[in-house]
Amino acid sequence: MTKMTTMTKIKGAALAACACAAIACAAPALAGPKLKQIYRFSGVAVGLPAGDLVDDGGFAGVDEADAERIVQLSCNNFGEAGAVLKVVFYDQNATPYVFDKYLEPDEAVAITTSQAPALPGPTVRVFRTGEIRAGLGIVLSNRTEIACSALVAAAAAGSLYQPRLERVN
Amino acid sequence: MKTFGSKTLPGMAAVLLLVSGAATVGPGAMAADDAAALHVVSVVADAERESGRGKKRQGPEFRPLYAFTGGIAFSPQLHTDIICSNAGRRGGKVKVVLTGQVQDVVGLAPAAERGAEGNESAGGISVFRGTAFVPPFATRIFGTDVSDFHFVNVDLGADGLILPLSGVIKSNRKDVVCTAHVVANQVLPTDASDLQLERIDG
Repeated sequence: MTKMTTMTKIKGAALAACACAAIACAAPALAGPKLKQIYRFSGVAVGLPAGDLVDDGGFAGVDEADAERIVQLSCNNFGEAGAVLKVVFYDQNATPYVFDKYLEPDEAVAITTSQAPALPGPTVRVFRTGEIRAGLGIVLSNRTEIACSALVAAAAAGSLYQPRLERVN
Repeated sequence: MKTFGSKTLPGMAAVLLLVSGAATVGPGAMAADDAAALHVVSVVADAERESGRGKKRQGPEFRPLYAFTGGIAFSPQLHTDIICSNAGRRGGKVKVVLTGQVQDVVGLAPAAERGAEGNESAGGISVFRGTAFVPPFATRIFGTDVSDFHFVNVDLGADGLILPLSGVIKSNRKDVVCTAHVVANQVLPTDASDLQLERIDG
């Protein structure tokens, strides 16, 4: 029992270290700007709804592509200087997916998670992740003049819900 | 509650935000003021009990993080999901406490007021609780019903028609962030709606 508990703790610590590394260790690759959390939000969902019926052929009569959920995160740099933007999505088990972008002043970007073909458009960036049943989103930047909003949508339903973005700094 | 010490202040803040909803979820026989008073007592008492007074402490105490009202449990058509993530580097526990009034489905009115028989729970105020440990950067979903179409980690057990549904989300970690919405139990839930969560821990 004790051994099992120890192993669980070691596994948990390793996962936490991996998740932390997604934020802390990826920063040097961006020429060293110090990034701080500016937003964090729960409710990230990517992929098909994951209920029991999915395994039992519950999508009979429904095109799975229509049921596929995506997250769209829009951010704009309102500052007078360029900003490094880093977005990290975590799935329910804390597996991170990292997206980096440099934003010029007054530049906006819409980041869309998708397993479908890339959406056309000069400012839309497709952010490929694995399935996220329920996840966490964290937005980091070296500037604070960044404003973001997020949306979870499905092709047939349009907007499903808007995760509550919490400003950190 | 003898003093207004720092331990009771988060509870008091929760009360201020809950007062408006309390009048609607209070027992039908009580006046609005009494219903509000009921919530004052229960929320503050909860905060004091969970602060560990008189018992051995085990890590940081639970504090109210969010309050909301407007949810609904209407099995099998609708349910309310509360999704909480831990954005901190230490694991934490999240506790969801929902309060709602069980309705008589026929007239959408409290069954007690309609004199319904044979349904002991109808018309009463019910409390549904669920707790989950959330590892760092992980996410857990609390649902009022286990749906065939949506993934839920913690089933709060609120079946039937429960309306309105208000709730408090507590945690022993401030880095917990939550989102809540009402969603239809369909593959394509076209009538999902957001719930406004009020952050009450400052």
